[in-house]
Amino acid sequence: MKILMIIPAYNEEENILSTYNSIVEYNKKNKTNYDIVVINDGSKDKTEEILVKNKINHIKLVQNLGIGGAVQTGYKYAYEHGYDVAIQFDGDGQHDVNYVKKIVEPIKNKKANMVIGSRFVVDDASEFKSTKLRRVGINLISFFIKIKTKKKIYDTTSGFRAVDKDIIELFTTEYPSEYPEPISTVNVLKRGYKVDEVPVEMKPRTGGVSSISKFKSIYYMINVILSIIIMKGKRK
Amino acid sequence: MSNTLIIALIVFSVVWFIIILRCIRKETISIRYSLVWFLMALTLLFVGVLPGVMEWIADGFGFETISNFVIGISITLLMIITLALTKIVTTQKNQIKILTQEVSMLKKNKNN
Repeated sequence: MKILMIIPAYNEEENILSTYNSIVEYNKKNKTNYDIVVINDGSKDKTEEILVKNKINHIKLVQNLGIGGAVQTGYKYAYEHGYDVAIQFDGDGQHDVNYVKKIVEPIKNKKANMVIGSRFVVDDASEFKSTKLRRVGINLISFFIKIKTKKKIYDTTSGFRAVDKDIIELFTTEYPSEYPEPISTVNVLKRGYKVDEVPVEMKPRTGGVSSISKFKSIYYMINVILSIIIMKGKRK
Repeated sequence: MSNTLIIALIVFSVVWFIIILRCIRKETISIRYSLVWFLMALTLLFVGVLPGVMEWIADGFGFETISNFVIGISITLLMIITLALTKIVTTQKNQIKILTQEVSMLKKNKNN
């Protein structure tokens, strides 16, 4: 099975190399063969320099697109190169490569088309659970996804996820530019695909700044909920 | 409606008309998008030239004064224009996104 790890990176000079190295080391140790593509989303720091110097496979976006457009580029790359599974993996050190096997498992067993690495499935799955305000927001979004799709998704904003070939193809044409994680999940569910959640641990960021500041999170939440409510009921 | 307002309306709509025409000549506004602006200038001109007719229409719509009616029409037209612009911006944003992705992927292939 050909597996690709898509790592979006915007101004990640502090974290990108260690994230990359952790995957390379994991591959060596476990004799796995996870390919990597870093999407440099028009970084203004030394991210590109680091990527070139270390010969890391990457696509440099000619201008900043934001997380949705960057990740979608990764899915297009996966589609063009015939990957069976694509994994979205943050470049900031929050995600742990040791859990990749776990989130690919349900796809391998044909039990799911999309698997979300979740912080909240089991109560004590993760030391790092995000801030209180964010958890309230995540729960609210979860509630609206349940109403819309009848499926309970616990960690709606997790950027750690694996998708199969069908979803890779879907995402090349339909991937939201804004609030991609919850919105794409709803789209996948509405089309009748199976989504599974697997508990993972996440670490606090090791450096850099998160893409969502505290100030913006309420605005984020309102937008996401509104988008979910008005989404058209598409079916396969 | 006072005479001053009538003159102001006529002058303004004529100037407005000329500005749009010049934009079209310089190709900074396409004919397609200029139509709604012409409509706006025409409406104002119409109010200025035939205040009596407008007063009658305004009365029919329940406006107390014709100036309120003019403002009402203007705001409605502006809303239509702004909505159209927002739609155009959203479409173009998506087109730019796709172009950025495709160009970036092509550039990567070229460098390999």
